[in-house]
Amino acid sequence: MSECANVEVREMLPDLLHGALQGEVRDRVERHVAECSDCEAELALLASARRAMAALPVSAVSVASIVRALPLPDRRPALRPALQPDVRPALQPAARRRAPSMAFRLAAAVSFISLGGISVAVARSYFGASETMVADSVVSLRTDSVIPVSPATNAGVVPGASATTRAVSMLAGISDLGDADLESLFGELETLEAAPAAEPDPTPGGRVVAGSVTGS
Amino acid sequence: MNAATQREPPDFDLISRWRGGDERAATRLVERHAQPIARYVASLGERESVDEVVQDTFVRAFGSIDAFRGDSAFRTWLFTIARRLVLDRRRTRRRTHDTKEVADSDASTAYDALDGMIASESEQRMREAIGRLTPTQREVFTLRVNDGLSYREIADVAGTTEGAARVHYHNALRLVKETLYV
Repeated sequence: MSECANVEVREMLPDLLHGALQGEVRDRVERHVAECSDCEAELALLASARRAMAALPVSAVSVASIVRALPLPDRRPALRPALQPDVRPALQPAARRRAPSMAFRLAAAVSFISLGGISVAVARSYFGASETMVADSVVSLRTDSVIPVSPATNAGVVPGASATTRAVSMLAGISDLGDADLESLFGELETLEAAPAAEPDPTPGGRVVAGSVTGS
Repeated sequence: MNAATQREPPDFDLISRWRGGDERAATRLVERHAQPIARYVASLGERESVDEVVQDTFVRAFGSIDAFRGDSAFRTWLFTIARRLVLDRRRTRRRTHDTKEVADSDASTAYDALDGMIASESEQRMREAIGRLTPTQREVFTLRVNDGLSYREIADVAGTTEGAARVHYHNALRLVKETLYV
C-alpha cells in the first residue's frame, strides 16, 4: 500500500473521520480524498481501526455508582467569565432565600436599637433620681447646724441649705465632684460619724439626736 | 458532529451547573464520558479494574474541578487523569509484586483476549495489527483515531510533545499497514 505525498491532507484524515473539519478545509480534504486512491484507502483503514477499537469489549461502567461517589459541589461561582452565565441562574434561588434573611436582620436591628433606647431612658430616670437623693443627702450634710428631722425636711427643699450646697446638689454625681468638694464631703462624713444618729431612738428615754432634742 | 450532539449542552455548561448544585449535570457528564474513558483505560492494558479506574478518574476530576481551566476539552482532561491513575496502579503493582516493567506483552494481551470474540476477519486482523504496536504507539494511535484528539491534546494526555505524538502516530500507522498488507 503506497502513501500519498500530500502529508497535510493525510494529517487531517483522522479529523475528517471524526467530522472535526469545517468549511473550506473540509471541502478541500474531501475533494482530495475523492481523487486520491491512497488517501481513500488510508481513510478506509482508519475507519476500520476505529470500528475495531470501538468494539473492544469493556466492562460495563455504572454511571449511578460513579455519580454517587462524586464529591458534592461546593457551590462556588466559576472563575472563568465564560462559565458565569450558567452559574448565575443556579445562584438565583439562593439569592431569593437571602432576601427574607436581610429583612429579618433589619427588623432585629431596629428592635435592638429601640429596646436599647428604652433601657437607657429607664436607667437614666432611675439613676438620675438616685443621684438627686444622694445630692439631697449631701445638701443635708453641708448645713452647719444639725437640721431638725421632720417630715417636711424629708419631703422638700432643705431650708438651711447654703448657696454652695445648692451648687453641689446640681452636680450629676459624686464622680463629677472636684477635689475640694470631695475633701469637704469626706470631712462632713467624718463629722457625721462623730455625730449621733439622726434617727430618733424609738426606745423611750433614749437619746434623740435630731434638732434641739439632744438628750432625754 | 450530528444534530443530537449539537443539542446537548457543552461540557462547560454542565460543569457550571454542577458547581451551582445541579447533580443531574454531573450524571450527564459521566454518561457522556465514562465509556470513552473506559475504552481508553482498557487500551492501556488496564482491563482488570477498568470500572475502578474510571470511577477514580471522575472522583478526582470533580474533586479538583477548580484546576480545570478549560484550556483543553474536558474529555482530554479526563484522559490525562485516567492515564495518571493507570500509571500509579502499575507502579504500585511493581512495588507489591516486584513485577517487570509493564511492556508490550501486557497490553497485547488485551487485544489477544479478543480473539475468541465473534468478529469479522478484517476486524480481527486489525486488532492483531494494533496489538503489535508498542504501548506508546498504541496509545497515540488510539487517541488520534478512536477519540479524535489533536496532536496537541495527545501530547497533554501522554505527557510528551506534539512532534513526538505526530511521529508515534505515523509510525503506528505504518506498522499497522505493514501488518495488514504484507
